[in-house]
Amino acid sequence: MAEINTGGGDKGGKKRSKKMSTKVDMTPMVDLAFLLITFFMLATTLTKQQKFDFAVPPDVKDQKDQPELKASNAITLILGKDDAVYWYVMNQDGTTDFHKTDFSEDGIRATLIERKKAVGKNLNVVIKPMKDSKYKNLVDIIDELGILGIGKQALVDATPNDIQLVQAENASVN
Amino acid sequence: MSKVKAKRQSISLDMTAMCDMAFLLLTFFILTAKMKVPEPAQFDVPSSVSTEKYEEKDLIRISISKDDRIFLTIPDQILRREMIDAYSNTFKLNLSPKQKETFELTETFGMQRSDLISYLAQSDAVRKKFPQSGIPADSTNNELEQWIATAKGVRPKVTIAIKGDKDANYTKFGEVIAALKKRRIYEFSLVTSLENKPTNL
Repeated sequence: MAEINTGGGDKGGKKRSKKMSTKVDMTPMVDLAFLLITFFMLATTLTKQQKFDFAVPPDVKDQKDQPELKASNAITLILGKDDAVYWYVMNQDGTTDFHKTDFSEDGIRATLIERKKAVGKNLNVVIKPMKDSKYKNLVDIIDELGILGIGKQALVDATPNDIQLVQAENASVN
Repeated sequence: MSKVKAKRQSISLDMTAMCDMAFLLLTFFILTAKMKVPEPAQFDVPSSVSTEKYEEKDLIRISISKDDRIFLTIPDQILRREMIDAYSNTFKLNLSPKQKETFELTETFGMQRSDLISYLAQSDAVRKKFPQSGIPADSTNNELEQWIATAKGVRPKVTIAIKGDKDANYTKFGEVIAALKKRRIYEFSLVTSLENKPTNL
């Protein structure tokens, strides 16, 4: 890049006007151009977001129209405050065991895998988000069901009975 | 005897062609890049393992912000035009052509109808700072449902996407779903960011 000035020119003879080189060093310009290309390429492709499709069943006016759900095939997940998940399965004699768990791998995923093994592909999952749960919790749970390949799910609002069960569970822990 | 000198090769390359190509590509990327329109709120979306691409074609998006405000985004300008015409007809808003034009350029908004009318009459600078309190979607004043009905009315095949902040409250999401159900829309997509699928199943 740096040209060595040899000096000592102009030995006699006419004084010539210095000839300017018409060549421009384009290295920095190319550098800059490629930097910007890289930026725009990444900026356009990296901002793409994903989606997943979700469907809710239509409201049924008559309780009789509701398809019969075999209680032992169903697991109910209640999404609560502070990323807590409560779940219960109806036993044959109508009693329920109420459990509290979380979104970790050993938490809700282990439970769902276990239920899936016990019941098979007829497993129905009823999701009941409570009022103080977060949107993220719902997406996480649906995503979890997708990962485990459980297709049957229903989104229902939490009933007063569920809220009572959650409160009782929290009270017993404290 | 003097040695034969090796011919010195010039190390400077002619970069004109490379430069031309670089700028051509740069121009292409700049032109195809879609400018990100500043949104009135930030949305930090939850992650999922879904790899389906989210594309804003023939859809309207309902966004729920962290502080539980509901926004409506209509990415298609032609649809915005059709919607505001239909909407102001239905509710007899008597919007001026200027106000309609402003709506056409507003991709995202989140306010009730009375605020929207005054919002559209403001200058650019005022609009940027206009407080957006969210579109009401509760049972007493369900304006979100009216917007959805308008969109479905002018373009029946429009689909709905919901983009919620991960810390948004479920209650708002429930309201949005209730509004969609009222308009007999049972299928929609949720916008998420990508996360890795667990391998140890």
